[in-house]
Amino acid sequence: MNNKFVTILHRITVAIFLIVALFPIYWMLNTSLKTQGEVYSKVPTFLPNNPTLDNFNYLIFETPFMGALKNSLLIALVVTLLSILIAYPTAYSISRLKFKGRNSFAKLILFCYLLPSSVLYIPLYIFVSRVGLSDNIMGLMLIYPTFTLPYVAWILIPHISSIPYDIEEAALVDGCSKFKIMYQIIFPLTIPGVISTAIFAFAMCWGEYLYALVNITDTQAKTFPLIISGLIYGDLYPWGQIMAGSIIGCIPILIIYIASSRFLTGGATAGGVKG
Amino acid sequence: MKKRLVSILLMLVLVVSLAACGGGTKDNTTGENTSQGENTSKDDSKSQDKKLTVWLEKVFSDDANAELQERVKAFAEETGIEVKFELLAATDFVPKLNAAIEAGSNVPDVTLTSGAITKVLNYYPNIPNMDVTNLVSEIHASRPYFESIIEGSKIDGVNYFVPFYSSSTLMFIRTDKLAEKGITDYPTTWEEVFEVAEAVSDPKNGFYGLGVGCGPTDEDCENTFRMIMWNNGANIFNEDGTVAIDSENARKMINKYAEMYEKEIIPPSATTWDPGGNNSTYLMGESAIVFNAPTLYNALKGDEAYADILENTVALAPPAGTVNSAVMEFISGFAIMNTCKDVESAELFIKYMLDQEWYDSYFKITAPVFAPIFQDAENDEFWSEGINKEVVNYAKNASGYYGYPVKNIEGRVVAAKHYFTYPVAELLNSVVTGTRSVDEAISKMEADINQITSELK
Repeated sequence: MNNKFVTILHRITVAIFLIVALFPIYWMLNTSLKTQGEVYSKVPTFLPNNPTLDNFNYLIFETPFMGALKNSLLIALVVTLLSILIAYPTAYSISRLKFKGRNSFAKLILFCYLLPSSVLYIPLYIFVSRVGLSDNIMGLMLIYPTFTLPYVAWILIPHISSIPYDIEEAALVDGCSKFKIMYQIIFPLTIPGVISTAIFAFAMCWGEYLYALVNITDTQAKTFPLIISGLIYGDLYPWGQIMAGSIIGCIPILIIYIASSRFLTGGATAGGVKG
Repeated sequence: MKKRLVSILLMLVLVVSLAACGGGTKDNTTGENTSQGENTSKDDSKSQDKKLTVWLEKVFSDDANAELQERVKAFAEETGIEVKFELLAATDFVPKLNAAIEAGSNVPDVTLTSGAITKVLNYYPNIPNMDVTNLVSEIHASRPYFESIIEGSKIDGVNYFVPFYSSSTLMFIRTDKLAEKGITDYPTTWEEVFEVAEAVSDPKNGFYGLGVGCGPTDEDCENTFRMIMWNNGANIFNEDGTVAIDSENARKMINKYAEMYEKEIIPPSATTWDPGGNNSTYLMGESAIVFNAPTLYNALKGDEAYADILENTVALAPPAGTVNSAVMEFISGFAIMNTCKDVESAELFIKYMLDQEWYDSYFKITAPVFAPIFQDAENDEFWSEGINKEVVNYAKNASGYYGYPVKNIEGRVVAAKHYFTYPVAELLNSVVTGTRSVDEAISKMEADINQITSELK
């Protein structure tokens, strides 16, 4: 009886959290299917009176939104891959190798991550302009690792540290090189950490606005947040179109979350050093 | 494992190559007519190796934006000057321009922005715009501007931009709600506005007399309440630039607002509004009187759902006060940036955009949101009645600006920098939410202005 009560309580709690978490998504979808008149109606409607796809049609066929979506996707994928490729050996070195200044280096990575973009955007704009990549998505691929790299490295350090060192020692005894240990023994064990970090790195690039705003002028190179912000004229916001853009913008992130969820199971090393 | 690594690296190279091919081409010479598009218009046969980069602030309608783009393309075709142009959302314009100026690269040659004078003042003493006084005088000589426009676009006698059009803040009134209370004469003074608002308020049924918000970022509140203050003898600054907010008249106006909020003549949600709040309250049929740009009129006209409200709406010039009748000037104009290497082409471009025939037809597309600013508009039948007449009259009579009535440039600079923090909205917000007393709020505003002054020194 007691267990049943606890189970029910758990489910109610989860349901409440789910409602709170999903309500904004529901409201976005609801608004995206309404006319401008209904959006501004005095009594908000929880379901559109006359559902319409006009907002989606406008966004997809009358603005360069789809091209911008492609740009965002390309940038986020490349930057995420690059970040993992560079940050993993960095995190491994800090976690496993003993060298002078290791702790300071680790803290420096955190400080790099904590630097606000409002401080960096002008110097980075100058840098990208000087290397001839302003107004080009390659410029953003160069800029975004400034915040994804420290983040990914910082998150991966504890993941790698949590893997028992005995596993590495066993591999060393078996004649495995350090490089092989790093990529063939430890990397597979950090996959859940790498995947979850990659998802966040992807999301950071996906919705980034300030750097894209400052660096990109050419419509062909714009990312989707710029197209959404460009929908606003003065002080009358086309909420239906904005929400339609936001809904479409959520889809890739959702797909990535769902597709990668099976890799997120931890505990692969549990019991790995027993016996 | 090595094979996998090599595969990943190869994939990365492939993706990067695709990226390089797929997006971000800087030299788009297609000149395609896209509503949100950056285009480069070029006529190879007439090319004289002259180039211009132009950033135009996007306006409210796709038709108007498309017309602007067509005009820029026509200029490129007729003159052979290559024009790389971009339509930018108003909210994106300043951060982009600032970054370009700070970096010293990719600064456009010509810009078209709203609120041009405040933006110029905000850069003082390093104003990045060229002195275009001679160009303005030349245009004025061939087609006279309204005097208010000539006067209002100068800073210390110098023009840093060429006036192009004027926007306005009109008073939108629900005539049916006034009629229900037997009110047939529309208010012409602020005192009457407050009285009418109180008379028509019905908070129990969710209807409020006055839709003037006070959210901390409510720019419309900032503009409207500044007009209320100027016209009732409550200036923030004196003419010499000294701070004047600590006055009995200012206290009276602030207390009046707080009292109306307390009595629910103003909607309770007004403390959370952004600049869209007053639009929403009117479109929802929640408020009887609001002050807004005529974009609100377009919104009413553009959706069948508002047919009823539109039929019962009248848009009038803002009322006068007990001591003044100044209304806020909103001039947009073309600036030539200091970094422009081909000033002759830039001037040619601006004159082309002000060509009478095209100009007159263009502003008929944007009416009533934007009004022409030349004296001959008064004789044009199109601008002679209804809301169109109101917006031209507004352009003709507007004399207020941020910092009004400060005369000297130092004072105007302080006022412009102060304005960007929306201090009046913040003051009202702090008073009605009980965060500060009126005296404390006034002291804070004084301290903020003094800090800006000392930073500039």
